[in-house]
Amino acid sequence: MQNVDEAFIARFKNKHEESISYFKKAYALEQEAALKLKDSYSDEPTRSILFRSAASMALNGKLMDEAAKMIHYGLCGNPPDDIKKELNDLYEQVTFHRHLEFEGLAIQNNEMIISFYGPETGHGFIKSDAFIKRISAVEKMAYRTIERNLDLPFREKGQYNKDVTQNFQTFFSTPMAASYAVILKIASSNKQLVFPDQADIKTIPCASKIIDDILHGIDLINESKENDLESLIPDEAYYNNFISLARELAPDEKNISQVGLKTCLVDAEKEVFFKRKCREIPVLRTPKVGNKGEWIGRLFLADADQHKIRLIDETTNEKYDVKVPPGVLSDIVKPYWEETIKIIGQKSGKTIHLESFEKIE
Amino acid sequence: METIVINDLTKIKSLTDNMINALIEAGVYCLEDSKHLSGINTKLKGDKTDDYEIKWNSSCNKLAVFSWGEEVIEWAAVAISILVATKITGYTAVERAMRGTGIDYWLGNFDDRALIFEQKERLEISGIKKGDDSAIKQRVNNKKKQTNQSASSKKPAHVLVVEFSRPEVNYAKN
Repeated sequence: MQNVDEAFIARFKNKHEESISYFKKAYALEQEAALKLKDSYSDEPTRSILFRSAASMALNGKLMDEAAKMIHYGLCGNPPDDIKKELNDLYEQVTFHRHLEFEGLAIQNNEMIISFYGPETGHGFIKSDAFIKRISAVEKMAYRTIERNLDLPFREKGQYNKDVTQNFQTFFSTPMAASYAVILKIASSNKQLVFPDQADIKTIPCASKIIDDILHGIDLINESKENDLESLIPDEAYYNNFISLARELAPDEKNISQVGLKTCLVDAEKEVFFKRKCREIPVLRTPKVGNKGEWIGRLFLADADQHKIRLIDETTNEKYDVKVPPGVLSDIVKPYWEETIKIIGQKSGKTIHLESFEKIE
Repeated sequence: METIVINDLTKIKSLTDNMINALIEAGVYCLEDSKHLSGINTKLKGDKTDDYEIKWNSSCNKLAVFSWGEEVIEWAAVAISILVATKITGYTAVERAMRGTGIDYWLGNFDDRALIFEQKERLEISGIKKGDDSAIKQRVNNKKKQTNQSASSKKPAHVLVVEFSRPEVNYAKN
């Protein structure tokens, strides 16, 4: 355990190689202890706890084959339900890490690998709508992060600022047949920008800063630190936009079970896996204005100035006016135009105040 | 009222320097992040009650510790609990417990370390950044149950759950 503590301390201090080395030492000892109970099937939960712990150390020490072996030993016994679930979760992580190991691929700090895994992915294939929705969310996240870093007011409607698109371009690589993965590359100029409504000259943020910002934001969502995310993104519209795009990108309950993002920082690779499924990511913060409920209908009409949309229940022909919080209409709601969606929110008078929504399949 | 000085962790010979520094940094971070100043009064509640004054005489690199994520709360709880456990039991943390034991540390006398079975009592620790009474009670009960994994040792188990917003330390003996 002392090696694990030292490994965590090294990780906290961003000494990644040292951390991996401690985890490997810890694994060697833990594996020895666990294997002593390999055939002691009645020694539960100690037996499965030791194999789970050995597997976790191997995973952190980047020993994927060893981790898989420990998980299988653990599952071969009679683990209690909670340990069984943890072992299965660990196995998913091991599988996903293997998919992320692209041999010989040198990733740059202005690039980000986005990798998907789950029933709707195959070796180099992914169901198109699951992919397009998420890849579009990542691209929007990148441009919104650029605009936020340039201190531009949130753009509720219209195209990206021309100065932004002229100085930043996003590119996607050909897919990689791992689970299913692509690289997003952000190319930026090194000019300075002057915006008419801003007195100061803005230096273009580097692409690695944009990527790091995105990964940091997702990290905070993973750790349920919405207050810290609010400190990182104090503007309400940008905050709503980021958290809503994260919900679009996150894994769902059945079709895409893992989504991971990986980049290369100055001294080490940084990777973030969504730990929360889309439904577990908090909904938009709406003050208590009325009774909570769910409404289903087709999405019609939108007023970007009033932040309003209209939902029509096609069976009853009932119309609902829905008030959408700032930052959400253009990037999140618009792609669902004319689709049937379920809205969750609060009803006050004739208006529904949107908290979250999802497409009805 | 007794005083607990977080920096006294440096006197615990069974912990490495790296470990001690990380524990002090985490402890100071969680208390200061909850807007407490050195000298804050803390209640010990549960199977034993007492009042402590918690002091520290070092600062922490907030930005660096922030990046530890949720782990920092557990580390901070360890920092406080090891010192509180010494007040309650008279023993110090002598050894990190193995996984599967359901506890975090073995308590004993450091001078006894030459003996093979010097572990006198068991210590399980947990931390909550901000929680209500029911969340704390539930955590204490869960942790108490967890210590049953090493009940065969027949050593008393002490559970300490540190809540940082008040702050208070909740104690149960198993």
